[in-house]
Amino acid sequence: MIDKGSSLWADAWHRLAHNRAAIASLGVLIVILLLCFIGPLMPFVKSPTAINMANANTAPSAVHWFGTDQLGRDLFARVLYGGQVSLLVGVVATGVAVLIGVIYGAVAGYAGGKIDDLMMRFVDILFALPFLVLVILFSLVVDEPAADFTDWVIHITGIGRDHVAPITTLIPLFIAIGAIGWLTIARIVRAQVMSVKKQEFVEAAVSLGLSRTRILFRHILPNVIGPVIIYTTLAVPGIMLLESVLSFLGLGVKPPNSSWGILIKEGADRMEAGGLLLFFPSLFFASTLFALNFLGDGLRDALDPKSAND
Amino acid sequence: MISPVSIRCSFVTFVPICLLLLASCQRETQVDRATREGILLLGNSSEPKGLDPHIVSGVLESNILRALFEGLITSDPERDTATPGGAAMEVTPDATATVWTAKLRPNGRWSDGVPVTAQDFAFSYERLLTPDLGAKYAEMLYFLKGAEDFNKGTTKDFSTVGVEVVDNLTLKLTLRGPTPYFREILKHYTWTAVPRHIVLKYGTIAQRGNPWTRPENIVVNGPYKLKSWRLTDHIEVERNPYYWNAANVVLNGIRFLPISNLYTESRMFRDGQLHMTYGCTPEIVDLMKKENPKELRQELYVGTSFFRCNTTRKPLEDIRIRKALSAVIDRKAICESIFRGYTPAYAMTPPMGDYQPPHPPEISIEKAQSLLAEAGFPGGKGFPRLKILIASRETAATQAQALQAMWRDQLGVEVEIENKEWNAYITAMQELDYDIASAGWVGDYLDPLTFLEMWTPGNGNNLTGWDSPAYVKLLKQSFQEADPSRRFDLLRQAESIFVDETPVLLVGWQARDYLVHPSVEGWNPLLLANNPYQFIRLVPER
Amino acid sequence: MIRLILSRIGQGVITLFVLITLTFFLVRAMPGSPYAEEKAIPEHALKRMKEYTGLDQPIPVQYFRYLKNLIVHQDLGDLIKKDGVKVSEVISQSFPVSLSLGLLSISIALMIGIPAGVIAAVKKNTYVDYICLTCAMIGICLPSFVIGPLLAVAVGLSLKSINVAGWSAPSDWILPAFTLGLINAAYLARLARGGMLDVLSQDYIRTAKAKGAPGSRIVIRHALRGGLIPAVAFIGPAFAGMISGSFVIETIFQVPGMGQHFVNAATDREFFLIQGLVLFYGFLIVGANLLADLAQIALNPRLRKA
Repeated sequence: MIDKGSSLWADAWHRLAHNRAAIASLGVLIVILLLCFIGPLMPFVKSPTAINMANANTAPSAVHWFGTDQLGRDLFARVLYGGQVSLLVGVVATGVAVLIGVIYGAVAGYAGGKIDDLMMRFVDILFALPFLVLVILFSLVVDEPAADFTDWVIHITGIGRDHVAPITTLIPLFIAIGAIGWLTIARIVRAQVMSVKKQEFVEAAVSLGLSRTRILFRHILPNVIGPVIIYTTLAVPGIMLLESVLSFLGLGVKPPNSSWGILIKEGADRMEAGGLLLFFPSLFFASTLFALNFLGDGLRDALDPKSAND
Repeated sequence: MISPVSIRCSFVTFVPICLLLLASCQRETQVDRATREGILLLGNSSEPKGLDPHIVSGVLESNILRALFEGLITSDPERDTATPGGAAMEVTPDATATVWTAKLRPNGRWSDGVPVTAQDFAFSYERLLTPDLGAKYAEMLYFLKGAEDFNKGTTKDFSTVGVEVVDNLTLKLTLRGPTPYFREILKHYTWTAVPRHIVLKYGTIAQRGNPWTRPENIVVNGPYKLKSWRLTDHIEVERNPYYWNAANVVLNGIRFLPISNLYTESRMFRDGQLHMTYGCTPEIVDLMKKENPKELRQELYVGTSFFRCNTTRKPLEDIRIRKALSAVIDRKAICESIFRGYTPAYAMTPPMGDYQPPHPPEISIEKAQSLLAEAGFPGGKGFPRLKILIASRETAATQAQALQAMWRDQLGVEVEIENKEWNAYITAMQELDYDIASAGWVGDYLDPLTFLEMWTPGNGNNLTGWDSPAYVKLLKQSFQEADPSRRFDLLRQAESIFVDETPVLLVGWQARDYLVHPSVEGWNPLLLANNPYQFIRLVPER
Repeated sequence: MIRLILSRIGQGVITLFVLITLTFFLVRAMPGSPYAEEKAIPEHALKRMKEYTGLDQPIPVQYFRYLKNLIVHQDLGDLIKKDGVKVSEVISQSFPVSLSLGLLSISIALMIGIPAGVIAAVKKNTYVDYICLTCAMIGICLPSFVIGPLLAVAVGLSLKSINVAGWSAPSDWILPAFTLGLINAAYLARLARGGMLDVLSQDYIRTAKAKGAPGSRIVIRHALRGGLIPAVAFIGPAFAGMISGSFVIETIFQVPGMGQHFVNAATDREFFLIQGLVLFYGFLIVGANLLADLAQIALNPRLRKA
C-alpha cells in the first residue's frame, strides 16, 4: 500500500493539533477575541463610559459583573472595549512592522551583494537607536496629522467622534511602532531568504528562466512564511506590553479612550485601596499574552524541521 | 553526590537572603532618623529648573527658594495676610502708597559673611528687568515705575525705573501708582535679592548661564544655604549660620525629594520615608481618611480650575451660549467626586483676606435652555460639535466627560473630547486652536489682581480672545486707587463683568491634599502654601 | 587585522553620524516647543531665550553649529529649561546609577533564569517544567508597573528595613533590581529552556546517553554550551533595554537613573538632551558591538582574513 505523501503544512498542522497547550491557547484567544469584538454588540453589556459617581468602586454583582471603577463605570464593559484597542494595537502595529520588515528583508536577501550589504548596514545603524524613545518621538510627530485625519474622517463620513477617534488616534501608534519595530523581522527574513536562495529548487527555477519576482514570490517567500508567522505571534505580546507602558506614560492611548494598558495602570494605582480594578484587566491581558506565547511556541515546534525527529 | 542542580538552587536562594539580612540591620525608619537629626524630608514634585530666583517661575522651585533667599517681607507662619519684615525691618509707604521705603536690617548677612545691602536689592531689580536676561517673570516687577518700559526695551536707562538706593541700608521704591497691598507683593521670590558680589564674580549682571547658582558658588541670605544638589535625586539645604535670625531657626536642614509619581510618593510616606508629601491622589485621600485622618491635610489653595472658551470662534462668541453652558455645570458634584475638597467656584478669584468676590445669581436650568434657544439652538438642535481640549491628566478627562454628560442631558448639546499630549495642548491653547480647553490658574500673591490682570487683551495668559474695554478701564482705575476698600470695590466691579460675560467656565476653587507626618509641628494651613521653614519643628513621637 | 579594526571603527563613526542627524531632524519635527509652560512666557523674554540657546536660527545653521560644538569642543550642549545644566552632567550623573541597577538586575536574572530554564528543559513535561514555565510566563505577561508596585507594597511596606523607593541606602537597590531582574529572568528562563530542549534532542546527546554518561554530566559538559546560546544572546539587548527603557522602574522606585531622562526629554522637548542621550546610547551599542566583534576575531582566527 502506498502511503499518501504529506506536505510540510499538513505535517505542521498535525504536530500543532497534538500540542495540547497550543490548542488550548488558540481556544482562549478565540474566546477573548469574541468577547472583545462581538461582546460589546450584545445588549446586556453596558456602556463603558457612563459615569455614575454615586455607584463608584462597587464589588462584582449581578448588575455589574466585574463591579464598577472609581467613577462608577462598568468594569466588565471597560475590559471588553479596552481589549478591542489593545488587541487592535497589538495586531495592526505588529502587522505594519512585519510587512515592512518582510519586504525589506526579502529584497535585501534576494538581491544579495552590494545592495544587501548597504541595506543591512542601514539596519545595523538603526539597531543602535533606543526603541522606546524613538517610538515616543515618532508618535508625537504623527499625533497632529492623525488628529487632522480624525477630523477629516468625521467630516467626510459623519460618524461620531466616539466611534472614529478610538481607532484613528491609534494611527500614530501603528506608524511609530511599525517604523521602529521592523528591524528584527527584516534580519530574520533576510537570513531565511538567503538560506532558501541557495537551495536546489531555486537553482532549478532560475535555470528554467523564471522571472526574479516570480521566484521571489512563488518559491522563496512561501518557505519564509514559517519563521514570520512564529515571530509575529511572539511579537504581538511584546507590542501589547509596549502599549501598556506608553499608557503608563500618558502617551499612546489616552482617556477617555481606554485600553487594557490604561485599565491596568489605573488598577495598579489604586492597588492599596482594593485589587479588583487591577485583577480583571490583568487577567484578560495576561491570559491573552500567555495564550499568544504558548501558541507561538507551539507553532515553532510544529513548523521547525529540526523537531521533526519526534 | 550533591547534584549541581541543588547547588545552583541553594545559591540562588542564598544571595537574596544575604541581601535581606544586610538590609534588616537598619531598624530605624528614615523619617525617625531624620527627625532625630532635625532634617525635614519633603516631597517636592519634580526636579527644579534652577535656583536662580530671576530665572525660574514654578511652585516647586519657590518651595526651595523660600529656604534659601529672604525678601524684604517674609511670610507669616500662621496668618495669610500678615506681612512681617524679613530682610527689611520695616517697609513703609508714603501717604499715597506710591513711594515705599525699606529699612534693611544692619545685621543681615549673605552666607559668606558679606553684609546684605540696599545695593544688592537695586542690583537684583535691575538684573531681573534687564531685557538681555530674558526673565520669564519680569512682569512681577512691573509695579515699579518705568519697569515695564525698561524691560521691554523702550527705555535703556535703569535710572528711569523707580529704584533708589538712599544709603547702604535704605531702599526707596517708587511704584507706577498707589499700591496699598505692596507688602503682599514683596513676599514673592522675584522681589528677593541676589548677591551682587557673587553674580558679578562669575559673570555680568544679565548674562544667561551665569554659573553663580552652582552648588559650589551659590551664596544666599535665607535661613538655609545649599548643601548638595544631585540631579533628579535630592536637593539638601543646611543651616545658614549668617542668617540674622539663625539663633531661632530650629530645623538643621531640609531635604527636597523630586518625586514625580504621586503614588510612589504616598507609598514612601506610608513607609516612613517622608515627613511631608507634595500632593495626594484621591484614592489615597480616601484611604487615609479611614486609616489615619490626622496625617491628611485638605486645605484651601489659592488656585482656580476652569475651562477656557475660545470667544473668537462661533458659536462661543455668543455670550448667551457661554452662559447656558456654564449654568448647567453641576459644580458641587464635580468638586466632591472628581476632586477632593475643592469648593464650587462662582467667581474667578477665591476669597482671600478682605476681598469677597462677586456672587452672581444662579441661572436655572430652564433659563439656560431658553438662552440656548434664543441663541438659535433650541433643545441643542443644530449646535455644532465642539471639542473639549484636555491634556493627559486623569482629572481633566473625567471633568470633560462629566461636562459632556451634563451638556447632553440638560441642553441636548453634544461635545467631543480631544486629548493631546501636554506640550501640544499648551501650544494649541496659546495659538487659540481650540474650542473649549481645560485650564487652571494658581495665584502668585494674595491680591485679586493676580487672578484678574490676566484677562486683559494682549496678556499672554488670557488665551480666550476676550476683550472688554469696560473691564480694562476698571482695572486701570484700580491702579490709581490708594484706598484699599475702594480699590476692592473697583476690582469687584471688574470681576462682575468678567463673571457675567463668562469667557471661562468656572469649576472650582482648589484645595491641596497632602500628607504630614505627626512629628512635624508648626506647619499651618496657608493659602499660598508658603510656610516659612524657620518656624517648623520636628518633634520625635513618643 | 589593523585594517579590519579601523574599518569597524569607521563604520561605528558613520553609524553615530547617521544617528545624530536622524535624531536632530526628528526632534525638530515634533509639535510644540521647549518653551511651552502653564504661565506663558512673554514675547520679548521668549525671543531672548531663543537667542541664548540658538534655537532662533534656521535649522541648517543649528545643525552645523551642533556638529561643530560636538566635534571641536566635545560639548553636547545645555539643557533648555534648566539654566546652566549641561547635557554631559545629566548623563554622567545618571548613567552610573542605571549601570549599577542594570548590572544587579542582570545578575539576579541570570542567577534565577538560567537555572530555572535548564531545570525545566531537563525535566521536560513534568510538574517542575510546568511550574517554571508558568512562573516565567507571569514575568513575561505582566507589565513592570504592576509587578513593581506589588513588590513595593508586599515587601517594602511590610518589611520596615526595606524602603519602598529611593536610592540612598544599599537596601534600596533590592526592590528595583528584583523587579527588573525577575522580569528578565522570565525571558531568560524561557530562552534557556528552548535552547536546551533543542540541544538535548540532538543526536550526539543521545549518543552520550547511550554510552552511559550520567545525566548531570551530559547537561553540564555537552548541552550547556550550545543550549545557552539563545539565552546569552538575549543578555545584550536586555541590558541595553534596561539602560534606556527603565523609566517605569525609576518612576515607581524613585531611582535617579537615565531611563527617565530618555522619556522626560521627549515630553519636555529638550532637544539637546534627546540628541545627547541617543548619541550616548548609540555610542554604547556601537562600542559593545565592536568589542564583541573583536572578541570573536580574537577567538576565531578564520575571521581575521575577512
